[in-house]
Amino acid sequence: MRTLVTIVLLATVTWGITSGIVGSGPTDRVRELTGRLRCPVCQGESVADSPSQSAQDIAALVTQQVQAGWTDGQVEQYFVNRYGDWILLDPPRRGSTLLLWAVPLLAVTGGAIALVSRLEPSRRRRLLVVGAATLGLASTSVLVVLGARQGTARDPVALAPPPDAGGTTRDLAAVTNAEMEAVIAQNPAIVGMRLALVERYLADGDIEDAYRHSSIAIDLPATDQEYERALRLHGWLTALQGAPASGEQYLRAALTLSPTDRDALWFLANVEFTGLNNPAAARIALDQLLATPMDDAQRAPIDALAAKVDAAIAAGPDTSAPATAETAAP
Amino acid sequence: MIVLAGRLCLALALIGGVVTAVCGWHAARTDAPTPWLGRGARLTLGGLVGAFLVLQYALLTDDFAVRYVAQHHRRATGLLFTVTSAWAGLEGSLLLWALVIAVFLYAVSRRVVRQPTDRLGAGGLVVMGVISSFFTFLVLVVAPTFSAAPPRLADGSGANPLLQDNMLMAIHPPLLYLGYVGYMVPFSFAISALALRERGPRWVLRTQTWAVVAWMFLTAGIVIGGWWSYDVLGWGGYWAWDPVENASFLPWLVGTAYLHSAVMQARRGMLPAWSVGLVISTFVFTLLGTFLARSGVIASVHAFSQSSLGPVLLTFLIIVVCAVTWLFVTRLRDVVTGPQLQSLASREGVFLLNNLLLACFAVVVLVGTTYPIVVEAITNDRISVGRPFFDVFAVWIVLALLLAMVIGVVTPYRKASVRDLWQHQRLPVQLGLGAAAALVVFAGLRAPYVIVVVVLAGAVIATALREFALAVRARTDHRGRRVAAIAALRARPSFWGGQVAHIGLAVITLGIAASSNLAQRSTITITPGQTISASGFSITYVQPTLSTTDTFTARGALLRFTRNGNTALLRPESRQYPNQRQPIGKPDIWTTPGGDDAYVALLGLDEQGATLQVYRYPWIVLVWTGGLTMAIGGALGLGLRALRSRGARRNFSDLEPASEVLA
Repeated sequence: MRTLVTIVLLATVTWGITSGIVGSGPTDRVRELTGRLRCPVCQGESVADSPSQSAQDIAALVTQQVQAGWTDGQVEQYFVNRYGDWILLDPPRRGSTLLLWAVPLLAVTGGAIALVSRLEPSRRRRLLVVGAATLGLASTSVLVVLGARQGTARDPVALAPPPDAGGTTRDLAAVTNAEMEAVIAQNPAIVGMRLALVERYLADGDIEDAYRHSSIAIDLPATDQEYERALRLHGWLTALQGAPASGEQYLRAALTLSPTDRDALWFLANVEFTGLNNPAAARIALDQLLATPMDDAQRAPIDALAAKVDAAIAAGPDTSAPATAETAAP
Repeated sequence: MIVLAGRLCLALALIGGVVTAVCGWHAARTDAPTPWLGRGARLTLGGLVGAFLVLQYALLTDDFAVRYVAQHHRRATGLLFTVTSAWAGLEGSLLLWALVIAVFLYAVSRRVVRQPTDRLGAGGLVVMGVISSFFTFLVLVVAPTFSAAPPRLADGSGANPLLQDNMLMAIHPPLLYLGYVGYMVPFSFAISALALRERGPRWVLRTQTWAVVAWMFLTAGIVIGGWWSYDVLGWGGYWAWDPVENASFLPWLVGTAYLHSAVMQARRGMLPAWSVGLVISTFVFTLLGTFLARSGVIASVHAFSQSSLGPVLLTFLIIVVCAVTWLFVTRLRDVVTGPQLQSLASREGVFLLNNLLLACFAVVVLVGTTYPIVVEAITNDRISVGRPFFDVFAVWIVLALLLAMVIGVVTPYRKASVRDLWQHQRLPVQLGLGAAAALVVFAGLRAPYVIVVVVLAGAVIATALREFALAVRARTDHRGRRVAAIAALRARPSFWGGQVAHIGLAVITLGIAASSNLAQRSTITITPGQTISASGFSITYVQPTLSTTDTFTARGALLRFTRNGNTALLRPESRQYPNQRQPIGKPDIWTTPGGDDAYVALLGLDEQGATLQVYRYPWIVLVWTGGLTMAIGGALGLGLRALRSRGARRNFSDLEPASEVLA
């Protein structure tokens, strides 16, 4: 009777599991794919999880690609070409990354061997057989699961790589600003290239053109570093364009991402001192800047500004701001 | 002035730590106690309490001459978040850390100095004194909590708005710190035992309470952190396998393994070296977590040469690992004298299986967390290791752990027969199968993983309850059931604490499996007055809202959610803080009477309508209740033991037979 109850219950549960495995409908491929892609602006969240704007943009792109009939491998390859392996939360199982998968399996094996070696010798042999069988079964099932996932995840058909400016091999110094403009016009979403152009314009003193690109760059999907760079440049340019208060906000946002970014600290010190007439805040930024390692040549302009700031602090809050902005960045 | 007072307090605490270490060393070597040991511990605690109060005073009086206050506080902040901003920044959180160390150091020292000779305890105080001195040194010199800001600053910049949003800021970090630092006590005693070449489980017994205290706080801290993340961050989850989360999970895994191996060592004298290894790893993982979270190494390997704290912490970590490994290897021969295992089918065998599984889990988490950092440091390639990697392993390990819990609790020591085991466990297994079968037949449950988890978790819960019922029945006499229940509980305090924790883990697993496998997710755009069905809810957009508080301006969407005749109003918002460029989303959550969570986050809002992310998470509330049940299990074990030892207090409570302490 008891045995019968157990058998009936076991059969019901088994039936539920098998019909669950067999009868599962088409899976949500977009959700699955975006679950494997890293959100470029978040802290380790997947695109599927993140509510951020760039994650939504990527999800929309993936939806289009899936509708256009791309395989999983093609979609992943597209994003790997744009962002590198970093974009995959599930690192590709090749090369050095194999070690990542091997170490846990080795740990299981080593642990099992240690366990068996604790046994009295007479029992060791019999349990060695049982243990080896269990271990083999377990590792085989893990490998089968991994293999099955890999089979669906990666398609051997290579996709013609999408246009990608990151792989350019020409010496960038030889490229003119106009050429870069043309490349960016073709690849509007590549933020690193655009920021490089912003820096060129800034070096040339062409504030308007630099500002035009920096204001686009801060809204593009980007890595943390790129976003920080965009915030830093856009903050400085916003201040140069005559809006030091909002420029300060961008710079502070950049510094929350990278508290020791020296360029951002230098920009911030200048904006606080010259633009906002707040020498105390400028002094804080300079202190943070001076705490970073640097040589004497780099230190000289900072010390010069610090002297002015200290003079302003000593003179009291009513000192009028110097007329022109400092533009030399270390 | 304030800065000076703070530094003075820290300097006293540093002196106290050094005095404790030196006098402890002297007492451990010569067996001659000195009153300065207790004085050092008191000085450490007094100095750090003083420093913490000075920081609080500076925050509460808006003293922006202190740089920490200028950077993490602004005038408009309310009382609660002014107090909590003491640990909202790097330097302040380190100060709290040092304070918690001092509290534990002082508590341990009280016991040690009361006894005429206690070489083991004195040795432990040496280790704790060194740790305390190091962290006090950090907040005094390397990352100074008290340093002067430029004069006449009108207002500070304020803490991160996410840290000023929720009461849990007052609870979550202190709980975690108590958990992390608590493991310092077993670690110190283990090192002391190694250094003094002391055999036997005395160090385990003396620190058993501390290990459970630490485990309890760490468990509660991690679970509350998950709930906070779910409630605030707006990505609809509670655990992202983020490096900092992993850094708290590693000590938990190894610490949990230690709680089990400690039972083995105390009852059967088995695996002494393994226990020492686990305790050492727990402490090293705690340091690793401190390093990962505070050095900036996670954002990029290349950032950390700019942080002054990173190299110091890394140096300390390497020194600790080298010193401890050297001690462990050279003294290993003195501690390894465990009896051999008679059969894998025994309580010992299942304990070993549990330890193996938890250790493997820890290896998976450790490798997954550090691999990207190592690869980037060596090859400059940036790779990510995220949820897919961790989930593959976590799923199997958790199932095996549940299975071990079903078997292990009732398996006798030394040797068990499979036949007896099945006789004993048939009922709980049938109950687990029955619960799953009922869900399959009546609720149409088809998700394979959820069904398997229901079977195993149901069996774990049924096992614990049935063992209790059997124990009560065996003791029931004319005085009635209640007396019998209390007697049963008091007879095996740690066992019942552990059983409650097992129930908690089973409940968490149910919550995790159901909420992740049965979740419904949809993104909808809805106009005012419109009603849409999504994710199993009927959603009506009542009206857009606009509200202003002291700290932010919020634009939101007022929504009416209906499911199975129950209705609730939800209002996800987008909050604009003055010191942030981008607004921060605040999701809204409704736990329906049926146990499903409605989770709604605002993606976009304009005149035409609102774009919403609507999730339905079945049973997710079980994750929090299960987590708190685990922590309560720890508290129950401690409480019952305290009750019992009050009943039978002896002069040398250290000498209680192991079998009773750790039954």
